[in-house]
Amino acid sequence: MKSLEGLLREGLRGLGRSGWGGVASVGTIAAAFLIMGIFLLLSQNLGLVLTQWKEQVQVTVFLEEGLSMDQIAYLKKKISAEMAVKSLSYTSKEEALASFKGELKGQESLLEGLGENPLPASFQLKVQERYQSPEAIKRLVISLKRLEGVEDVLYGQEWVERLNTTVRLLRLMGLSVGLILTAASILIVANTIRFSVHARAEEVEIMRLVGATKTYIRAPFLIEGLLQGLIGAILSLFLLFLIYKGVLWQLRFSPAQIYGLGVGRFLDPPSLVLTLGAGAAVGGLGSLISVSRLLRI
Amino acid sequence: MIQMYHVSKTFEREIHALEDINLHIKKGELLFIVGPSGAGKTTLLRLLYRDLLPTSGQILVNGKNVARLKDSAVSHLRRSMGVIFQDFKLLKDRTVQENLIFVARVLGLSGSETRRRVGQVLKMLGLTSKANFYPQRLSGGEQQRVAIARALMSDPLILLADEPTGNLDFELGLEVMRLFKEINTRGTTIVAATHDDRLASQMGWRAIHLKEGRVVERSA
Repeated sequence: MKSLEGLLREGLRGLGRSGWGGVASVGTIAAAFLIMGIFLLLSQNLGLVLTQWKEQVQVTVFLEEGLSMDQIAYLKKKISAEMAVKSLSYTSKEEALASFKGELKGQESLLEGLGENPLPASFQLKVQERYQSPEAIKRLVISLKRLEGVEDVLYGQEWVERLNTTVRLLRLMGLSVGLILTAASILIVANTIRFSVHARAEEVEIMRLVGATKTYIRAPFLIEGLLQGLIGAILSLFLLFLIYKGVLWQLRFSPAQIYGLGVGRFLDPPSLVLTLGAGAAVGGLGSLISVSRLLRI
Repeated sequence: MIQMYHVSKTFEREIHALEDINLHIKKGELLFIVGPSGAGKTTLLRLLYRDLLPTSGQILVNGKNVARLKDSAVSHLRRSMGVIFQDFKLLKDRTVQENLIFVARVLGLSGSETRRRVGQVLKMLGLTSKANFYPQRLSGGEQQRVAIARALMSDPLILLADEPTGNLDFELGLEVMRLFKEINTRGTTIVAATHDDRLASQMGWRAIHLKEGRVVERSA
């Protein structure tokens, strides 16, 4: 049996000999994985935004003018009693105005002509996680609107849903484009390895006839394919990282802003390892196709 | 050591390479298979080292039915044999010594075993001074001897030689035969295919004559 080191050396030598075929193999695998990586990165980052938003799913209940303290307390009790409501906080007309003024910072003069405070008092509700589906939220909104003293109800669920769909679409696109390209990569590796086998036909023939085992004959070609896949995957991650950095720079996000948004994270370690493993698997599989067809005992 | 019972081999399009061959070769025997080219000599040898499978009939080598061997057993069978190919099949981009080392690796010999064995076969075939030559720089006779040296690397029980004198003049051919005799005295069974009637009769070994895939004559 050959040592692992010897096998690796032979695999590398094979890769060196494979020339443009090897470049084509590594290149297509890199391209396939890069495209999948872009989709993966986008969906991962959007997914992060989504989780943050989901945590904050808020329903705002605006109250009618001129409710008494008792009426407000009664409403608070009624709303709290809703199964879907996790917690709620009350913002009075005055507090609403103060916070609005804070947001206008330095342009408070705009408010001077308003005279009376036009902002309504409101309740901010946090929704229980299992009630965050669009249907449950709609049911909640309808029952809230029926309550006496409620002017209007606003909620951000639509956005969450839209983003959710986008993320799902991105994943699907990434997966389907990636799968097609991966299949192409496997075939290209198979073809490159076929050339490798033909280039070494004499050696292989002699090995066979002097009694080499199947593994002994096949292993160097399998390693060669595996290395092509692995190098392709590494290259794709490197390019993906460059693109990612480039995009961040283009958007001119400061790190604080990015992390505040929860976006701007590169692939997590499990995804990185998975990508490398998948690369090796694609290369190995492509090689196996040719090797099992061409190399018999 | 080798038994063939009613062995036939048919290639595509109904080409009958061998028909109803019955052959028994004892351990330590030296046998010629004589016949013109196309008689089926190479096919017969290829059946023995299981490069081909018989269309019908049974082949036993060392008591084992070669047609029923698993892949790993095929490797094992071939390691117990040395094969000298008609076209030598030497690696042109490697020296004589490297060609031998290549086989040693396949056989899984250790570094020291390899050195010992390479030195031994080189000496036995008078190739020590040519160890670092590439095959193209050698004469036909020398290349033939390298091919024999390689076949002896595994210290085989059976030596199969396909036209071992085909590229040599009569004198050099006799020299190879004397070498075979020497190898044979150490206990190796030898089956040599040749088209050369004269050589076969001169050596006085047992011979079977093949013509168009059939045994036409047995001698001695």
